[in-house]
Amino acid sequence: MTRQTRIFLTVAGTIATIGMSAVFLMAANVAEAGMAYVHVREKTDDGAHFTIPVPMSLAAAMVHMVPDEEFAEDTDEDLEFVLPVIAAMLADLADQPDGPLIQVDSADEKILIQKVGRSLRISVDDAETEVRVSFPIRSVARLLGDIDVKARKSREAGATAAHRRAPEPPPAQDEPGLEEPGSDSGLRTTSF
Amino acid sequence: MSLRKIAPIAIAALALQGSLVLAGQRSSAAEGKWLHVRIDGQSEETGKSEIVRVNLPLSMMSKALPLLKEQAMKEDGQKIELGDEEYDLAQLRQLWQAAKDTGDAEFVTVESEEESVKVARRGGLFLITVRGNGTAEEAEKHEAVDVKIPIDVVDALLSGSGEELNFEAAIEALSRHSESDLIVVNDGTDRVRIWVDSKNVIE
Repeated sequence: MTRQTRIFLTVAGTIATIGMSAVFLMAANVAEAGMAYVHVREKTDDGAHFTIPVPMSLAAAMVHMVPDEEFAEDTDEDLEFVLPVIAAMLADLADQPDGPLIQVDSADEKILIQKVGRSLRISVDDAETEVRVSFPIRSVARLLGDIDVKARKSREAGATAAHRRAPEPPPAQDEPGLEEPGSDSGLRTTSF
Repeated sequence: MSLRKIAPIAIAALALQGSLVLAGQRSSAAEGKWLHVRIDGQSEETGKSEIVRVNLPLSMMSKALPLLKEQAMKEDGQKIELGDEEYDLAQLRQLWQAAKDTGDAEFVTVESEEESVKVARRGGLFLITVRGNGTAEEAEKHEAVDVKIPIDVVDALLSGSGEELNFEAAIEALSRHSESDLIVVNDGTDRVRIWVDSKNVIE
């Protein structure tokens, strides 16, 4: 084996090892964060029927990629109040045993929300459509927490910037109407 | 009464009851306890049966306490909405103290054409009972509402001297009670039951 071949194989092996490690790390990250699924089926002959898998790690990455200004514009104070509450509720739910949480069974539709393993499964069935949503509870709780933190930071940054941009108030001047009678300014004093 | 009508009532009752029973995020008493709501109704249109079952862990719902407080308390934090009336905590505490001093008794009895309402203290329970009477329309004749709140839970809820209800103490008090119904509503066609126990199954 020539020296060039040995160098080439070493470099190629290193690149391959790094590449494989990155793939394994990514796979481990996706597996740890879990997947959310949205499944929709319209109950007609030509109705839509699709399933959208969303890796939660990808969703988390997207949240971090969204510019702060977007969060500042799209989240209001009410949402900032609600987000951490929902995140805390979900985090608590993650530690609970599996079981049904809400079940509605009426003539029009059937709704079932249950905890199964690490996931929360929401199932809505009516005469026309069947919708199934499943998401890993802890990952969504973390995601909501991240959104909350980002929204707060961006709002605080916006408030600080606005404060800096605000012009200095003009120096206080004596108002003519408040001038003491008998002063030598020559202006008439007006009282109300 | 259809589920669409009864669901908001149940949710309102749940929120009210939640205010009573849900408490402190650090409370260990909530661990393992579940709040249940069961509604058995009938569709007015189709006559088919309709059911709603809710099983929520108290510890999870206690995390929602900030939202419940926000709804229960007005913005100034001084008034509490109960039905159409507003009370401040000082008024509620005075009323409650008077009721406690009286001992077992019927505090309020209202007889009308449609129903009779009784508010009483019996044993360790604060009871509100509503019964439809014979002169009411057919559907309302069978109306029955039973609210049973353990005395020490209300006591704990109104404890302290601040301007906020003491949810943490209320949950501690509730945790000392075994399984029991808190609210039962039966209007002849629909039945609503709200209770707390240690099971996380749909009954």
